[in-house]
Amino acid sequence: MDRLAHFFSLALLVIFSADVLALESIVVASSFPKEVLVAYKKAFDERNPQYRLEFVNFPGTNIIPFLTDRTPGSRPDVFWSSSPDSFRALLRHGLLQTIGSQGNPSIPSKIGSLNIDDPDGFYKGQALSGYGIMWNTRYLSARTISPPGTWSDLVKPELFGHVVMSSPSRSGTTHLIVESILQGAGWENGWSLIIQIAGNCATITDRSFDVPNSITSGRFGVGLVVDFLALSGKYSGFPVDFTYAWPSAITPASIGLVTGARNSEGGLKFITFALSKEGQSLLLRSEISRLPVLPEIYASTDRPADYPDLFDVIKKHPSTYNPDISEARHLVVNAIFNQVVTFRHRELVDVTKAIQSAERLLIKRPHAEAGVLIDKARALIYRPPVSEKDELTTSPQLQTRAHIAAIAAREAEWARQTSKNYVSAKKLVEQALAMMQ
Amino acid sequence: MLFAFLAIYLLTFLVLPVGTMILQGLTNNEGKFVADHIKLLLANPVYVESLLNSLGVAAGAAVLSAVAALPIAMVLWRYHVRPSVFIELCGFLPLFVPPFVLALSLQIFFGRGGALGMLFQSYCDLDPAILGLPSVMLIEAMHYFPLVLMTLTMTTSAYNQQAKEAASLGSGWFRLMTRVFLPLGMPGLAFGMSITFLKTLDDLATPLSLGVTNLLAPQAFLRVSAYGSQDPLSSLIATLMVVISGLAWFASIRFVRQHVAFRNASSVSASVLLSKQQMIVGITFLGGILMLYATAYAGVALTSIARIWSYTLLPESYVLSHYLTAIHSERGSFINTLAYCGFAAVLDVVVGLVMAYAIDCAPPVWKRWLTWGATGLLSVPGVALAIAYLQFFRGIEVPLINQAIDASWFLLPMAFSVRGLPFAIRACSITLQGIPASYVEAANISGRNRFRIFIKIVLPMMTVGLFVAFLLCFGLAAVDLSSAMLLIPSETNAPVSYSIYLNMQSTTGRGAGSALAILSIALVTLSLFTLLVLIRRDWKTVSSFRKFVFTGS
Repeated sequence: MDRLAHFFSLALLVIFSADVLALESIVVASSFPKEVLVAYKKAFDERNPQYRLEFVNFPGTNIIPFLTDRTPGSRPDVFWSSSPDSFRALLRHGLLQTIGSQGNPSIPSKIGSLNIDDPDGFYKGQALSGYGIMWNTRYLSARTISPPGTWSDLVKPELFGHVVMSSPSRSGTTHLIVESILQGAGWENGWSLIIQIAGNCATITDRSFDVPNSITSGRFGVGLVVDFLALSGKYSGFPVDFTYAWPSAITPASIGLVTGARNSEGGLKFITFALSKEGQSLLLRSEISRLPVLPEIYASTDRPADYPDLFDVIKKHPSTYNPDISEARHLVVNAIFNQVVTFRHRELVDVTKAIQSAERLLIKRPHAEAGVLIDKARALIYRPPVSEKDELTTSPQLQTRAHIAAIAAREAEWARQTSKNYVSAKKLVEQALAMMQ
Repeated sequence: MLFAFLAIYLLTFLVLPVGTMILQGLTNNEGKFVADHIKLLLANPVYVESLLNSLGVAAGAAVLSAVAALPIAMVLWRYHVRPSVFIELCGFLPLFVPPFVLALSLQIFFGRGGALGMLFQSYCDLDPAILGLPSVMLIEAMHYFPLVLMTLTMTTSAYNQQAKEAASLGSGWFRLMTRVFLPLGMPGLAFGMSITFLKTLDDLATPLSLGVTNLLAPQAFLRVSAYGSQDPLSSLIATLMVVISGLAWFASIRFVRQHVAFRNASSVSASVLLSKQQMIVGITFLGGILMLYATAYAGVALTSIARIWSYTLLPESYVLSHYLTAIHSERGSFINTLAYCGFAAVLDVVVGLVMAYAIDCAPPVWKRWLTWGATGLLSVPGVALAIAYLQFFRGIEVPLINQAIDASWFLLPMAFSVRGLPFAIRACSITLQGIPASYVEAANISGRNRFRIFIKIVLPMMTVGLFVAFLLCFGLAAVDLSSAMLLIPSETNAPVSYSIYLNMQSTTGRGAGSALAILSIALVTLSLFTLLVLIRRDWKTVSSFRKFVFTGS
């Protein structure tokens, strides 16, 4: 026993002294999957032996509370994420330091109408992301379902229970998908589409990674994802495919230096590395598969033949997405989705299933009154609980206790209303079914 | 001096942070008590539903694991099949492996993408995520079932032989079951059930990996990550969780307060050859259980060696590279786990010993109240403690290293130690009670001072008990994902359980995460085996191990 005690105390001593002698660390807050982070860490640490790159992983949408919960000096140095809203929000909360003109001059600051960098030099574009649908080819062909082409295809009854998506409050890229639909299709129609898609979902996953994971493994058939999460699976050899969808957004994944960073110098070093030719070419690796913003990388021959091209993607998919609108209502959109979809998913799926089977019956046995009832049920549940003009969605506010309490009060209201709507809609559909029997 | 240290520790890492958190939920910006936040919480049906769901799932998991364990333990008892000490130790494996690994494994194996799930998909959907809330209950019950079963067999097996003799004297087996087995097993059962209840209530990663959000822990976590620790509602939800755990712990202690007399350790028959019938019973039941868990973990085991596995019964191609990746990129997390959990467990044993001693010295009237009070107060769920720490330690600097305390790894082992303390106190008080008063008195009479008595007599006699306490606290800390998810300053500081969680979030198969999970299960089993080899030299250990798990306060 004595020997054991000695061993433990020795082990602890070694560990703690190792920690004290540790290299200068650079902490990067990022929502990217492990594959991306591991590749960048390995490459950066090899070239910069005086530093040790560390990551802290959480959804990009949660960056504001993460930073405000920590005082300057306790914060990560760099924020690296696909979510343009988060960078806007950071700016408004004064949580970014300017990088100025540092970075890679060969990266254009604007491609077409798309700003790659922040005009005031607070953050830089590091890769491009487009959004769309991925599917498992084996899963769909086993069920003879044709691959969907755009968002509205995802509401088809044949896809009921085969779709999977994440929640915008837990995934910055899902937030972007939701916002691009809301901005492209309009608030009311957009929400209707989103809630219908969610009704077809088998589950709402906790993080964005669970979506591509479920599709690559063939657990579910179709998922809403950012392009690189799908492409990395495809180029790693899984039977999956991807298409950009409309209305979509092409947005830069950005990188910026956090106010109150412990190691600004090291942080800047990592930012420069991520924008350098080396950092950009890492993006082409099959397990990463992102679109670099450095044009010369596309000339390289070591990418797959059908790898999307930056300029092509921008040309083909004109973006209707405005990050300022998105940022202003960021918390509210998340809160609506959670109260109407995430926390009520079981009920939503239940009613969606009932509506779809009633509609199938309606085609076989047309019945005018029953049709009206089903339409009423649809109108009850596939709509946002609040208007686009509501004060909450139009006036961006700082995340204070008062603002959070105000949202919580509205959340309670939406939750009660949603519960009631699901019950009433179910009753309406049951009445319609009874009429058609 | 020791008591001053104890008071500072408890104040800084438990009372003040949790107190601040409770106040945060109950006061407005000016610091006045208001009921506004409670009204807000009650106004949203989601929170009320989450409260009921949490209670239901945690109680359901505890009852379910007990219902499954009781008949098996009864049969084993009836046929005097005593599992080997190694198997008994393996019953403690659930304490060292996070339950979300089981959830993910079942998703892989029973989901539509492969293996059994794919085979049966045209008849029924076996994916645990589809079932939702009941899945959480089932998975937690399944995860903690071996623990409940082993605590039960360990409490009752000492009286196997007497029971047989009593039966041969004319007392029927049914009567023996109800009159002897059940009362004997109750403390072990209550202990196992209370761990299942508390851990299920606090579990974050399992419900989240199944897409279940309407439970207290996920609701508090989702709110605090979306709105920050200033959010009054997450403070309130966390407070609610503290109250529920306190009450549950209190209830479990009431159950096990009767003292169980243990047979003299030396008379534990070490090697009695089993009859053929006994062998059949033993192999059927224990083998069945082993098969069940092998199937349950097959998903993760196969994924850890699969290169491409997508909508086929079994993986298309196999590789071992995931293990290399896991070892290469995550070896630091094993060291972190050793460091944090080791540090936390050492602290627990020291503090637990002091508190147990204080309780032991207290007047008899106070004893029970002190035990209840101390352990009830200490059973703070991980999510709640993490929220409390985020609020309380915001911006406080550590003087020597000039670093903010919330940016260092320091809070994590402290949270672990606070969470392990109720278990350490019980372990230490049982060990203390086991020291014959006559030895101490004899030393006293011969003129030794208290310190020498402690060093020369008390401590050596407690070594094994303390080691067991250390192991238990270590295990509980090793799987404490709920606090790690909120308190971790960077992935480099992550313990293994959190590294498994992060590595499972990959887009190209869950190979590395699965490999890491299998590695950690293998490592724990190996450590338990080594422990067994170490303690087998002395049979006393077995008795005190058993004693520790079942005796009351």
